[in-house]
Amino acid sequence: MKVLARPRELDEPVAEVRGQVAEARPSGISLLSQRTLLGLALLLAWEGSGRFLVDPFWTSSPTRILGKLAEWTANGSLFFHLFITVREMLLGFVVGAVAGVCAGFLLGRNERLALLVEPYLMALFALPKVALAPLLILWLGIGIESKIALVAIIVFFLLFYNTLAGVRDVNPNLVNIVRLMGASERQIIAKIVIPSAGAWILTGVRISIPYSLIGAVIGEIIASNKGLGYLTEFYAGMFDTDGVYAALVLLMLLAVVLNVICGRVEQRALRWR
Amino acid sequence: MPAGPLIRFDRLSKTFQREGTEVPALREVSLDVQEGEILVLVGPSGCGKSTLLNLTAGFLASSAGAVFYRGEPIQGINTRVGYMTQEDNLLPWRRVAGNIQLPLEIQAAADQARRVADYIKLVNLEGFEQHYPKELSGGMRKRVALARALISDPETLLMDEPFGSLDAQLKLVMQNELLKVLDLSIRKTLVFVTHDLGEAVALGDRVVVFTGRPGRIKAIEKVPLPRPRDVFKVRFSREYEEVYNRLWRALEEEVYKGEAL
Repeated sequence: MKVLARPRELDEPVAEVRGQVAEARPSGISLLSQRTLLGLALLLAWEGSGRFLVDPFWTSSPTRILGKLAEWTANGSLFFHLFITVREMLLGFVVGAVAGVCAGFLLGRNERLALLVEPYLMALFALPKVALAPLLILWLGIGIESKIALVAIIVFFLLFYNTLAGVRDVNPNLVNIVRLMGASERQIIAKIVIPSAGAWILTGVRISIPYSLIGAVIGEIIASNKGLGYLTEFYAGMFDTDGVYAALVLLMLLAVVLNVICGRVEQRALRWR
Repeated sequence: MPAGPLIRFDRLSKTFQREGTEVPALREVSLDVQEGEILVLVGPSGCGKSTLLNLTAGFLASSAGAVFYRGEPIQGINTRVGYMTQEDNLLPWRRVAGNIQLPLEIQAAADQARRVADYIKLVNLEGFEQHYPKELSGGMRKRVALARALISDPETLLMDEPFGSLDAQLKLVMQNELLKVLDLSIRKTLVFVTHDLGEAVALGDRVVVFTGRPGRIKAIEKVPLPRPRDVFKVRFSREYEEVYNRLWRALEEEVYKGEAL
């Protein structure tokens, strides 16, 4: 096969540009050490105020929180409650996400069915899902099942609407192009619809992770005997702010870790954007 | 066996419904396209050139008349044609190699990796196999789209202003590449839509001028320039100038009419 002439003008790659933007940093002390210093200063101020200004009964203090966390680690309750919450979240998330994506594809590819059920789904979507928690507890008890159900319902709607939008957003030109190549309906879905909607679904996953944590914790606060939400509620009831703060710190750490993982996955999967 | 035309447009009309009113796009167009020919369609905007391609691809159904492909009326998608439009329509989530491979995947063709490598070489994109479309310049994306349109070896190519968005120099380069590819297989037929008259004469064996909306055929000119051609050089030939001038006189009127609307 003959090789064609290679044009030079305006035809050079633009790929190398990315990755150079993040270079602009304030000179002198690195951002990381500045951030560490700020964090330490805030912790010191908190510790100091607990000792000299405010009764730590109200605001606890970093050392007292650390003490509480050490105590929970030693007696095993830290990982027990942490894993309960993570389990509720993840199981609820998987159930809700699978159902939401399937429903989104079904209605996205079936315009008539979508027109039929859309107002009802809208009404359910508009309902604040946490208001369902008492009913779910009534049905499923105070164990983890009611929390899984609550998380699943919250995640379902977020992923359903994102998937539906993604399927509807598919560029019809791309569909026509592969039709000309002789693609079957199944190939169109596999090669165009799913990858194209994939970006929307990933966004749905990203926003529903924090919501699934909210769902699990609220379920636990309303009625339960285990999990991080239960811990905050239990220690608040005991007027033990150290326990409340320690549970909040765990929740915060959990949320941050989940967020970082999601960000990494999304960045890798959406490199083409 | 007497070979009939590859494509026959037989008193073809197409009317669109827009907000309750009927907008005629094509009226009573009759035209034959021969196998191996490069036929270029020019005309003012909205004259139904693109509609003609969409009817040939089977994306649209005619309002009256018919398109015959190898003697058979076209019904549904016409998978014997390849289509390239002004938008490159690459799959943004696939890398260059993956985009070019797409038609082979769909047809479950043999020897996919080698053929992809061949076509990447043909359009001069070696070294960019693993780039995503957004990492490429406009000209390079066009090359990917061209390789994808050619790799499944469709007997007919439909092109709708494929180089419309490129700057003048790059356009010449792409035209030259297209002609070289077509000259590799003499039986390949091309129907090419443009509103650049220079491009039309440089590429076409015949050039068809359409009237403004609704599109009808106003003039057909044979281009007496032999192939293979060099698009850089043909522009300075006497034949090019003569055909260009005749076509411009036919087109001029339509363009001014369009302006007056």
